Amino acid sequence: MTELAAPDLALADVPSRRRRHPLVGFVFRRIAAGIVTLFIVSILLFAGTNVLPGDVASAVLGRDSTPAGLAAIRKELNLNRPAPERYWNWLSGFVRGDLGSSVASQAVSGRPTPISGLIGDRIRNTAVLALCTVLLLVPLSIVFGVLSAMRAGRTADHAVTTISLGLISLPEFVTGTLLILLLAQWLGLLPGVSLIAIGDTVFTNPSILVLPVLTLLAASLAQTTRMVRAGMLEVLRSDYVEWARLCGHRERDVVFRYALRNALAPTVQVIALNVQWLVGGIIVTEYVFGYPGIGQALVQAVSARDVPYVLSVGMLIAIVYITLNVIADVLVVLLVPRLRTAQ
Amino acid sequence: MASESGREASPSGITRRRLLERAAAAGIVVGSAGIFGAAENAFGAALATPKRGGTLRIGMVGGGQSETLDPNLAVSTIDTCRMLTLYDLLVHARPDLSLEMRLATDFLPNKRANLWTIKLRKGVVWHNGKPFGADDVMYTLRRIAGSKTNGALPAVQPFDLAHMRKVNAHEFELPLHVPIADLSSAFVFYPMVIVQNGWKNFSKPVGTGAFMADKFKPGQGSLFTRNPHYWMSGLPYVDAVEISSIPDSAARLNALLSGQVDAVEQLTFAQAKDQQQKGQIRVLVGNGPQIVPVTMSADLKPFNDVRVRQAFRLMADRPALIAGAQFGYGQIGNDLAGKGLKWYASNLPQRHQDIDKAKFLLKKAGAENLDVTLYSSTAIAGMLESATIFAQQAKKAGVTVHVNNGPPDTYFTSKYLKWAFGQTNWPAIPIPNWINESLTSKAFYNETHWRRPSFDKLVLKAQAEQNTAKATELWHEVQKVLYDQGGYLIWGFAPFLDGVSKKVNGVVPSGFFALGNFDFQHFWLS
Repeated sequence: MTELAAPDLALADVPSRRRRHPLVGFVFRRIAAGIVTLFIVSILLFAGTNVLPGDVASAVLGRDSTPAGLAAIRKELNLNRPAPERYWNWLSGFVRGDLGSSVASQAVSGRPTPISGLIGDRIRNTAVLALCTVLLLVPLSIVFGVLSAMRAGRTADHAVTTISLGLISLPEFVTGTLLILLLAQWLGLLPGVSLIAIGDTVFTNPSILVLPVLTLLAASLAQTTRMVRAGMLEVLRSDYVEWARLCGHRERDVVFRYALRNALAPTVQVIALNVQWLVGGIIVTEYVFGYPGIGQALVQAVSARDVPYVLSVGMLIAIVYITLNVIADVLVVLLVPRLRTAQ
Repeated sequence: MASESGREASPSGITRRRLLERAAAAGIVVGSAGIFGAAENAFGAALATPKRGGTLRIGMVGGGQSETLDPNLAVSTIDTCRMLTLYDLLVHARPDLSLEMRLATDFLPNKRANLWTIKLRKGVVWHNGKPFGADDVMYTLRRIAGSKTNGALPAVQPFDLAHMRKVNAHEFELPLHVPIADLSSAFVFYPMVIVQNGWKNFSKPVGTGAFMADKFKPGQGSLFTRNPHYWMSGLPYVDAVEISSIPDSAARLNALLSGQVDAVEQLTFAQAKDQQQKGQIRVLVGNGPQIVPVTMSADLKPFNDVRVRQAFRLMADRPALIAGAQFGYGQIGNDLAGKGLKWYASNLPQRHQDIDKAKFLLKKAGAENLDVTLYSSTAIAGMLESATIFAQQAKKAGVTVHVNNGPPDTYFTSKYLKWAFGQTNWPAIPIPNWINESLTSKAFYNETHWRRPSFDKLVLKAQAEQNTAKATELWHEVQKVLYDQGGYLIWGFAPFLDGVSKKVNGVVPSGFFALGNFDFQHFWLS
């Protein structure tokens, strides 16, 4: 997903001598590519939900389903319409900002239930979880990465690399389970499941955030730290850093004024990649902790065969993913002057 | 009835029989009729006086956006749990499987048992203050019959609702298309909870139950508060019940262990075994008639030959299936449903594995070296495990069984009722209802393709017999036919396994439904 920005930019820049900032063309190109990608995602999502065996009628009625009962629900929910028509109805609504209505809710309530009304709280819960994770991830990964690069080959470095390697190899459901065992069951410090009592919000009892955030951090922080360390090491060995040192600059200035900024470019890419990974990791983590976010809702919607819900939430996730990608690419270009000035 | 379940140790190490003895020693007479929830009262009294107040927090598997408070659309156990908390049934099954009158007080038949007068409880009020009466029950029955989706649809089919007649505010007449001598047991199904006359708005449900709906978010949770005008005097003990959806089984148990909920349903067999050893929580083992049997279709090859069906039943090593598929929980089966329930034919000898006889029968049927596919899935706990173990056992008789592991979400909606060899699941259900729903020619769930006019006649005769001794004889005759020739391989009974915190009192493990039949009005927190 993260294409290298440089060739694109060179092409955009060479023929035009207009006064438009070169970055603007680049941003437009990336956005256009993102929209095309989203369109392809929407087709894949729709095809995927249609390939799933069964539909919402059979999911709602389960074993009690009679042909008459199934037919009644299918008719009410327009499930009998041809697939291209259903796809078009959903997509045209989505583009206009209408997320559609949850067929699983409609099947049990008899009334159209707009998805936008159902997911507000869940999106907020997920956003809080993601934000807490990212706010810790960025500074911590930079601190650990830089520290370990500066102490390369020494005990602190070995500790960071070994621990991070271990954490990377654990999937989040394992990390989550281990954390629950240690912090919730043995030590009894934190709630083992992130339930939000009905009527409360996530802020009523913020301690429910700790374990999911730690779980998400474990894998992403390890990965990011290693990449920051690698980037930093490479920069520290480069000629201009050597030159700065020879000029008599203090090591602290060398690191923070000259090396870090150049090392940050690949870091931004890596952090962006990890934030995107979070989008997927959150779904698993929310399920493990019973956290009422959008990921848990998506899992439930798939088993209920609530196609409009899966499509709309899937698209929202894809939009977040692609937006982050564009932002990361732009940031990289901003950070590395080399990429901005076409040769 | 109680003798079967009495043998099973309850999690606290007290058998139900011992418990009742202890209660009797404490000076409490445990009568069979007229005392509501005799076992619960005995349990509470034997330990301490119930304490009032607090919120009872329950963790359930949940059903996502399709969770509902409308009995006509309820399908998952979290729906059942909420139905039984908000509403009341006419007749309720006690944890020991005997029946208790709730909103009904009497069922009086005419001579032929095809016209029943049903008397209803007086002095019951709805959550919105209206008095409860015959109109409500008649509306509910018509509403069930008029829906295409109510789970109790088969149970109301014999009712002639067009000619139902109100006698007075608390009495109505229910004519039947066919005589049924034991009608009250047909009302124990949870989708038959009574709703108010004319009520349509089930996002704001009104019931007569012990708790009133306050908040409800499908797929997340609900908060129901104490009904101060509940008709069982002095109940419920707790101020509110909070029911949350926790789909993941590990998360559910974690929530209980870390004290975020007070009770959870559906522990896995492994979790139950582990927690029973650790002793931090109380594991409820509700031994009852729930089954996860194998079905053989009597009209499809190779099972259209009765000798093949008999041979397959003899190939099963039942104790090994219980040990392997259910971690030793539950009791072995005798190819008949409803152990512990009224009319169960406990006089028939227990069937055991007999490979030589199975081989002999297969040879006589000309069906040696059979090769069959068993449709299985992980839809129900122990289903795939038992299929795999059975396949190994069948090898000894020279039969190759291929286990087809299908997607659990659609197991009961794709090839179900069509396959020759599959598996199924039945909750506790009165034996006459089970036979009518699965074994008569027009049965809704005819899983074994069992269509015999002579058998149908025998069932109708047994159902119409009002003399208990004669009826027992006839129901045993019905079951003898199934025991000898039927297509069900019922190798065992599966218990309900739930976990409760040691703070929770007044809950009795039930074989009829999870968490002591969700009878939360008897629960109290210490």
